[in-house]
Amino acid sequence: MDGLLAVSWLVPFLPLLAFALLTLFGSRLGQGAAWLSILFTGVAAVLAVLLLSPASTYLQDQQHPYQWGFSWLQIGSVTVSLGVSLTGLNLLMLPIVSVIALLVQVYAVGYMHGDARYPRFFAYMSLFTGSMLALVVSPNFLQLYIFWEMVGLCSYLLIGFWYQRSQAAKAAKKAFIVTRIGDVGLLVAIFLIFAATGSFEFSAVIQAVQSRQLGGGFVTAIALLIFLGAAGKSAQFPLHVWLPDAMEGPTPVSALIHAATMVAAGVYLVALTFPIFAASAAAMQVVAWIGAISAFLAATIALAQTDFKRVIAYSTISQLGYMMLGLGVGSITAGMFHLTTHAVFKALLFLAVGAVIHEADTQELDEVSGLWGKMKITAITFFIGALALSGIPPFAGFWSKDGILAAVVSQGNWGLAVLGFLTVLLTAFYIWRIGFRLFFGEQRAPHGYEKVHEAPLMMMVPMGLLALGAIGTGFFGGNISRLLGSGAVPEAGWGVAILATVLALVGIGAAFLTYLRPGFGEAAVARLLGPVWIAFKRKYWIDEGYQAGVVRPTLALAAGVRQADGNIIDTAVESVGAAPGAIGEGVARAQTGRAQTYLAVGTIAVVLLVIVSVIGGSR
Amino acid sequence: MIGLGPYVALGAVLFAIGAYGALTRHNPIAVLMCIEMMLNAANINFVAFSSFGGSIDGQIFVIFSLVVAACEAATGLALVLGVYRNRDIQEIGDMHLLKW
Amino acid sequence: MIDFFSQPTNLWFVVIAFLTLIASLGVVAGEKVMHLALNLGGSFAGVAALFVLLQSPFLAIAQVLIYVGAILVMILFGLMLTGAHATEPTGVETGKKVTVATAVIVLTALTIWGVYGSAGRWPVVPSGLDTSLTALGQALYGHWGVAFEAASTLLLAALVGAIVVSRREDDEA
Repeated sequence: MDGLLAVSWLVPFLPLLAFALLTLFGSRLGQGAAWLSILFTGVAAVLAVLLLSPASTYLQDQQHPYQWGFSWLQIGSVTVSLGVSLTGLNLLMLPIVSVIALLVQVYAVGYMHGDARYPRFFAYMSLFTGSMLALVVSPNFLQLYIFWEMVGLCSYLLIGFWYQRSQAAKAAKKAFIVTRIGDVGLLVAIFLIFAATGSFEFSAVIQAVQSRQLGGGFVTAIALLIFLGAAGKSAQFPLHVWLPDAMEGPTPVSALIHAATMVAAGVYLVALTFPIFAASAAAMQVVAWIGAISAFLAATIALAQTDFKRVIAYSTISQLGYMMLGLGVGSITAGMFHLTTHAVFKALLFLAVGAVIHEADTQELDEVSGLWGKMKITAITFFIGALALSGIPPFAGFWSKDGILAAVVSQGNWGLAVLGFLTVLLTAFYIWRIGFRLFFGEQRAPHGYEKVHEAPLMMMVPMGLLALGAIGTGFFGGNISRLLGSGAVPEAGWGVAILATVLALVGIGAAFLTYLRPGFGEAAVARLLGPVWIAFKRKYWIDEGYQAGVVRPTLALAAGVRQADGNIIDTAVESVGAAPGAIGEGVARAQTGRAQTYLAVGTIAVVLLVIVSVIGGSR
Repeated sequence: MIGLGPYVALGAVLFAIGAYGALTRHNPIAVLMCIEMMLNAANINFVAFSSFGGSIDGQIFVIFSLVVAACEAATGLALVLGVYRNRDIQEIGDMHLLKW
Repeated sequence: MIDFFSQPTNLWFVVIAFLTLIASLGVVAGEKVMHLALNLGGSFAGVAALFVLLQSPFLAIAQVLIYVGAILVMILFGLMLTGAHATEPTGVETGKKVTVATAVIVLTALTIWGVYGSAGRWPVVPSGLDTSLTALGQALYGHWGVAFEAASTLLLAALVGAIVVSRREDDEA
């Protein structure tokens, strides 16, 4: 039992080792690169699942998490360690990350088949998997931050994987820069924490907060800064703009990084440092409201997008908003439960639309429809994911989303509750809109409908497994709450459950009426909503706002500074260099190269010195 | 009996003449000759101080000075010959490659 | 003044000094380089005679042997190899000559002024130092032995260097 715990460090280490091997030998392995990566990730996943039982037993027996680590840095009296800490939260994240990473990598064998930089792709995937696993097992803020940035780097590399497309390169930069804004907040928070407590260890920091050693305003500031980092990573309003653009990356990347795992790191971070938030009512309010607003805004934007991959990206923002909302109203269990189910069904949805993109070679709703006849299995898995996302019982999303809604209702904040329930309606509408338009209606595809067929088996198997997960994970709420030890999943109560289900069914029905009934299409909805629909379609002009309010002034400032640098500072510096140069030019003329001249000067100098010394001596 | 003074004065004059020649002559060998004269002037001083001061060290120093003079004449003439042969220069003023 | 010339040594000094200066001025002022070399020989000989007056016969002999016998001959060879009929240009660079002449005259005047300004403290009688060959040899190979060895090494290096420098390029093949 303990033997297994002692090798827990292998879980993050194996994928990182795979990355090292693929970097060194990847180009020689060719197609074998994928299998190396899958093998290492697979072992890590098996280990992560096997760890669950002994580690949770250890947790219950010892009343503190299993810790393993080695001293990495000695700064004054502070020792910074790298290592593994197996808390309930970490134990929940490990299987989620590793299993989904494994399934997505298997899927990618089919999806990325024939890509010129196939080994490189799997090297990056391994690096991401390893970094994410190392992130979730971090025992201290410093290790967390290191791997936090590493997953950000992987995200950048993988969004820009097809860097030849300028859209992808731009999206990668955007993701990197926008998340960086959040990361600065996290970094400052870590500095403040270290300055106040002298430690990076979570346990020490949380103890300091709980024993009220720190001032209330200080704790609020730290909590908000941490939340800034979390909001950047989890694409929460107003830092959500990078995630839809990140869909330029390959779809397996979108499924793994930008749906199931990395974007959930923000939620994980808030859950991890929850005691800090719990100590500040204001910070909790901010988390809850940002979550609710993100959930609602992203859902409305998703209604009007025609790029179906982006719709699912906005859906991810919306669902992450739910998780934040759940945490903000005080229920870690509800938030993390939703994180778990969402990881499964959102990965499933991405893989399903990935199959469509792979076959039809487009992401535009207007270009492809009626695929039911060709891709029945894909359609079924997609609809399972859609049911889970909409929250129809007994699919996974129903249980976790109702947990969050119940927590909101029990807190009695009606503004949040209204936003939460409205989002249920919108969610059902936008996801079924995609489903109906993709799989029903006129039969067409950009390269000819007849060429479309089911995706390869390598892609179907992970989709099938995830579909089973999307049905089943909802029933593990009790296990998760026991593992986390943070209270039960909030009881939904019949009222909340029925209201949410009815709203979801209304959404599905509205989508059905709009898209599958003749004579009532999207144009009619657009006419009905008028300017509101345009606002949805243009994503509330947030990108344009950033462009005008942040990007252009920054560029203008940079151009001005550059001008000043070139004209004023450079000129000054060059003059400083030019002046001795000119003096040297002049003095060099005295250097005639004639030995006699030098001697003459020397003689005259000696004579003058003698005269001076004689005059000086005679005085 | 004359004292030390006239010898030192003579040395000074001889040195001045040599220095003037070394600085104004155009033929490199003539310059070398003038430098030998300057060394000679120093030698007079050494011997005079030694003779009047009562220490033999001055005499020894003259011997070393002779060694240096011989070295200087040998290498100096070799260089002058080399320059003359390779570049056909007889004017010391034309030896001015070593400059900016 | 009478007293000064009444001593034979003093008379000799005046004569020798006069001849030496004449020869030296000839080296500086002459036109034909061959004449310069002959004047230089006179100058060397005059200095040797002064050494005799200073009761240093060995140095006088060494002066004649090395300067007149070796260095002057070497200079004559040098002159012949580089054009024995070369002449010094006259009447050029007057400004430079005047400047240099002023400098050296001032220097000499200062030195002589210094010598006679402090003449009272300077010895006027030779110390009667033992300058025999034995005494010189004991000093040279005894107290100054290491310096002597260094000087001989220097001489050897200079001669090797001179040979290397003056060797013709085409000999190397």
